[in-house]
Amino acid sequence: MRISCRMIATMVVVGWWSCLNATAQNHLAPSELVQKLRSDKTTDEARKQLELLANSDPVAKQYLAAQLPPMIQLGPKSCPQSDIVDLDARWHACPWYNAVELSGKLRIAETATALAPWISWREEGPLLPTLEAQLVFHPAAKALAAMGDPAIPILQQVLSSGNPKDHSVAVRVLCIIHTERAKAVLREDLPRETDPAVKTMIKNVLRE
Amino acid sequence: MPITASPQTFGTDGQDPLLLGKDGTVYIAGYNSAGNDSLAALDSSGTVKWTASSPGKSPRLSTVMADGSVVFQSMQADDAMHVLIADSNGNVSPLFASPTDGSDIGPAVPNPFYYAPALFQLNNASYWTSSTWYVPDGSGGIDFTSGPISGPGSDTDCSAWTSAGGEPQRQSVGNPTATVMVNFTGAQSKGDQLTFSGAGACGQNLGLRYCPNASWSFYIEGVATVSDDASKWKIRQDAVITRAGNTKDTQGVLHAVNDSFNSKVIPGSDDPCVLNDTNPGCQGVVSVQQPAGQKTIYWLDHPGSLYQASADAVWDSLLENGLFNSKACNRFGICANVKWFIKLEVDPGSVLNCAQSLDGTLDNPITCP
Repeated sequence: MRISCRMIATMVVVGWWSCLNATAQNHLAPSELVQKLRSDKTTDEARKQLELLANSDPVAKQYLAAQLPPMIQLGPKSCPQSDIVDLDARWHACPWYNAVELSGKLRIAETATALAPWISWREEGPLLPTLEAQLVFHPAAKALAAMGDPAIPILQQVLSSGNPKDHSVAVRVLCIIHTERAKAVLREDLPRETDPAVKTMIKNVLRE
Repeated sequence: MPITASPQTFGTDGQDPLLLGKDGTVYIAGYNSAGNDSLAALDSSGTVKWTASSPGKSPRLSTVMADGSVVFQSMQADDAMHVLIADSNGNVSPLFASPTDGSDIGPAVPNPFYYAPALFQLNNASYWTSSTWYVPDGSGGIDFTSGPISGPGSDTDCSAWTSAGGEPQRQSVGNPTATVMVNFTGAQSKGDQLTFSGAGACGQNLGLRYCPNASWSFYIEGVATVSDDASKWKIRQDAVITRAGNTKDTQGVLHAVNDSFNSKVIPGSDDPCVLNDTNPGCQGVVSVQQPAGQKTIYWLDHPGSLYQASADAVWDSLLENGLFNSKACNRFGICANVKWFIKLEVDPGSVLNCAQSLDGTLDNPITCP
């Protein structure tokens, strides 16, 4: 009987310790989560936890505003080689991709400058026109679009950069942002556009 | 308020926790102060007409009937969405009740993950004793068709109203209906004013086309004919794509590629864009024509592959297979759909293999002209 009680007490202590440990793991500090975000093996899980955390904790979001730009500057070449067949899973196995996605989902304006060089960078993927329009395969552009007005100054720089690929994606991003400020930039840009499809797209946005 | 309205369902099917009856009665699905799933009806002055406990979780309002009763779905103990009705006094019963014991003999859409059905491919067809197949669709709606349980006409895998055994006459009288089809060759329909545009597009005829150094795409036109009004329907689409082949980098080195993509990872992402689409990603893009007062809906698509495989490589050879499900759904969850496919073959040297490339519906593949 005494042994059983001791066993029960031990189990309770072990259980309590496990619970504490699990709780601690579920509430990692932002710095620990960013470390995990940088690791190929833990990056996707860290992205999910950071998104939850930063949505409810302004301090965590501020921390990310400082940490994400250098990660984004590394560029997509920093992504690990992967044999994952499912493209969505493959993208999320890359720390750079997750840093870009977080910057958009959390609308961290401080990342706009770091995102700009990758605005026309396209993930590998099939041609599905509706997804192209939504920039699903253009993670940096999608993040800038999600950011809204704070991204507009950097988009204006891209528009005048002279790179035709970057230019057309920047126009698309401005169309998606669709605020009065974005429309003003598009209105100014319209006379300079030569592609009839791009002109039509801008006119559609300005007409609405 | 007797209950708190549920947040709008995640996804793009826009499930609204409120419905408005023509007499001004407001129907609300949500939860009461104890946190239990509930329904309530309020008159136009805000007075509570009735409240009712939902027999299952996550009640989703569907239709207000002429007599003031409201049809809704909720997830019951079998982890499936059942269809129920609350009468004008708030008494809840199965919409399709057995005349003998009142038990539920209607459709039940499996929903094992407690999420909006739109997030899952809930498409297992089931058979009712009333000689009717019901086919739950991914949007939470139900497609109906009549026909035998086996033998000719029993195939419900394609459009609910266009299957060989379908008999629209057996639809409930007054229910709006739709037929959906896809055109793969020739010119666009006479009434279709849309133009192909966007990434990699060139030309306006239907069919497989190579746009030099830009893309290989299948240009298709979707056509839905509805019994009521085109503006009351929403065109939805999802796609599953697999690719295998080799890309060639700027040094001429080949790299093997093998991947797949399912548009359902981003719900609604392959739905064609309408004028004033609520999806911000659709701003400025219109690929659906569905003016009010007309009964025909057109939409365009041109899936395939870009010539450029990545920032520094082009496709040297490629086999791409895509399966698409295009559907027209109205706000009551009535849907008609058609499944179609593409098979794109590009031979080494980035040469389109027209003879081996196909598109079409599953039972009618069309070869390259």
